[in-house]
Order: sequence, then C-alpha cells, then structure tokens
Amino acid sequence: MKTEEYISSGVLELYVMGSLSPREEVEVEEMAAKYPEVKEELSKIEESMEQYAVAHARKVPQTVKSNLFSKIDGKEKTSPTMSVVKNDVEGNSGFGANWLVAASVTLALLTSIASVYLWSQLQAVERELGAIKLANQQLAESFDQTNNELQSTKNYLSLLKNNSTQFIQLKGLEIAPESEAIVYWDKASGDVFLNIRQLPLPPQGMQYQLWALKDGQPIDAGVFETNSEIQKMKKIEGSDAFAVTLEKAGGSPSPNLEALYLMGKLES
Amino acid sequence: METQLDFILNFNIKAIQKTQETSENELVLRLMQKDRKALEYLYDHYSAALFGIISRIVPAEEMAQEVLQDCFLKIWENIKSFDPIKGKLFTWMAKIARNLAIDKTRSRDFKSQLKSESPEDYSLMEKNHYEPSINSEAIDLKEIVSGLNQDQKQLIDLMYFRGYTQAEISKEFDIPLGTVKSKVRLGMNKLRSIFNI
Repeated sequence: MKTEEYISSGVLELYVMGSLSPREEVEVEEMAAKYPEVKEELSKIEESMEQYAVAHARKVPQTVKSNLFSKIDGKEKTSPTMSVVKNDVEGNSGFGANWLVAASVTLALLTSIASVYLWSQLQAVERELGAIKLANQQLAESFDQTNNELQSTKNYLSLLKNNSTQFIQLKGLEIAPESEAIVYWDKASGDVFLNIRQLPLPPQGMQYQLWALKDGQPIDAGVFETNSEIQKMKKIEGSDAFAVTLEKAGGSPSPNLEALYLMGKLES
Repeated sequence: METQLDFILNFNIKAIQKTQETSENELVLRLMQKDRKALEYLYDHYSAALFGIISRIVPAEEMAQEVLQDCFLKIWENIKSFDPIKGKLFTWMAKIARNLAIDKTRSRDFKSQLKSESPEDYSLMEKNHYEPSINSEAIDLKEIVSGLNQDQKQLIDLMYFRGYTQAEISKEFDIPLGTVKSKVRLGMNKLRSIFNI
C-alpha cells in the first residue's frame, strides 16, 4: 500500500522526463527494482511519454541522415571492427600489427560483453535473493517451532527430576487391554503431563479425555491427541487416580464410563 | 581467431536473450554488434521524435540538425551503457537528445534568452512550429492539446522539451514542488487515457 502513495506522487513521471537529480533517480530505480508495481507503472509512463514525443515529432531533412551515415561508415572503416580483423588475418600485412588489432578488438568486445553479461547476471542474482529471503523466512518459522518444543521438553525434564513428581502408570482396560500411558503429576505445582505409550486411534469426531479422580469425583484434566509427544494437561490439585475415556471431540463435562480405556491409581 | 570471435558473439547473444525477449532487445543487441542496418532502423523510426525534443530546445534549424547527428553518434558509441533493466530504449535516447541540446544552448549562452520567455510566448512558438507527425497512426498533437489543460501541458513541456527540473520550475514560476508533481501526474494520467495506455 505504501507504493500507491509513491506512484501517485508523480515522481515516476518526473523520472521518465529526466527532471530528477541523479540521487533522486537512484531512489526511483531502487523502488522499481524492489516493487514490481512501481516498475509496471514506470513502463506505462515511458510508453505514453514516447507517444507524446512522437506526436511532437518534427521532420528531418534527408541530408542529415546521409551526413550521419557517412560519418558512421567513416568511423567504422578506420576504427577496429570485426570485418577488418577478418581481412587482416588472411592478408599479407605485418604479423605484429594484426595481433595488436585483434587483441584490442577482443578486449573491446570482452568489455562490452562483460557489461551485458553483468546485467543479465544481476537479474539472476535478484531472483536468487528473492528465493533466499523466502527460505530465510521459512527457517525463522521452523526455528520458532523448535524453540517451543525445546521449552516443553525442558519443562518435562525438570518435572521428572523433581522430587514432588508422582509417576502414575495407567493400564489398559477391557476395551483396549494393550493400552498404556503414564501420568506425571507434580503435587507441588499441580502440573500434569501425559505420555501415551499405546492407545488406539480415536474414530472420527471423537477424542480421548483425561480425568483425575478425587474422592470418587472425576475432574476434567483436558482432551489430548494420540501422537507420541508428552502433553501438558490441565492442572490438578488433588487426585487419587487418573483415567482416560473416549468422548466426543472437544471433550465432555463428565466421563462416559462405558468408554473407559485407561486407569491408574496413585501409590498411597 | 575467427572461431574465437564467433564464440564471443554467441555468448553475447545468449546473455542478452536471457533477458526479455522483445524486439527492442533484439534491436539493442544488433546495435551492440555494430549492425549498421540496426542504426538505420533506429534513425528511421526515432529521428523525428528526437528532433522534436532537440529543436524545441535549440530553435536554430542548422544547429538543431547538428545536435541530432551528435545524438545518434552518441547512441551508436554508447549503446553498451544502456541498461534495459532501468527502462526503455526511447527514454534513454530522449535523455541523450535533451542533454546534448541543453549543452548546446549553454555553450552558446542561449539559456537566459530561452528561459526568459513567458509561458504565453512558448505556446505561441509551439503553434508556429507545429508539423504533422510522420506516423499517420500516431495521436494528433491537436487531440493532445485539447485533452490536457494549459497548466499541465506547460509543465510537461517545460520538463520534457526544455529540460527544466522540478526545482527550477518551482522556483521560476513560484509553484510549490508538490503542486508541480501532482499537476504533472494528472496531466500524464490524461495522456494515458488519450493514448489508451
């Protein structure tokens, strides 16, 4: 949106007409290189300025053309060109002079090729820069993600080391006897971490929910996914046991005891 | 030696072909190869438009013709300094034409005389020198004049055909810089609708 203002300021028109200072011109060129909409607008302005100039055209007498080209032809005859070099190579003139002419021609050609090559390279470099910037952005995003994961892992490790952490093993019940999970509960802070070792994938639209049981009362500890990551659950103040049921996606306020999958008591 | 030059040429061609494949770039390429026919083409198509710029800065006919010649010689010699990334060939050529013409006026001390003419005088001059475009398809000058308002045309012409900078116009005609720019912008937008660009 910033370019809209820039474009409607009229600075591009001034650039095309040649009425900017060299420094102001560089600014325009930088903007055009950076923003394609600026470049596009510049193109259009150039086109219409050309039409404007053509509309103001004035006839030139033929003599000017003939004078010009006799000068050009004269220049081309005396100064080194490719055709001259070709002839000399086959001719009888001294070897030394030939070599110098050929060398200077090559040098001149190389210089002009170098400049042409350089600006085509510039385009390639600009494209590459664009790709690098994009990759950089993606890298930054994945770094953030990794950073978050690291933080979770740190939390989990400190929990394991902590003396007040309880390890509660949850065993699979009749519905899914192979199931296994561990709950890490820090009595001091109330933090609960869940580690799912084995649990069948929930059907579509369903989700597993963890419960803490205190004095026979179920307390919601949150829903979770069945991937292998350690997941942080809701804080629990007091608990005798933990259980997992299968509920509708998003969980439910009280557990469906028909869908009890895991259960584990605290050692007392 | 011959094969080496061929190789260099082909490399040159490929390097340019990497950029936009437009006929303009083809023309530039041939000019770089010192193709005389390319210069002829350039002259036939653009000399009148460039002369329009030059002769409005240098009114003396013979002197203006001299400048036109110098202009094409300069284009021929310096084509390798044309950067297609920065813009079109015509913009570059027009700049050369304008600058050579301005230099000419400075060397002959025309400058003060030219700029002392008031905007009214200038438009009168315009009417006397008007000639129909060599390209019958081009938009007629009269159509343009009727499309732009006087302010807009004057500002554009002062810059494009006389080489005034925005600072110079602002100072000399006592118009704020911002106004100069926005009037030019408005004028150009009108032109673009006339030209269907």
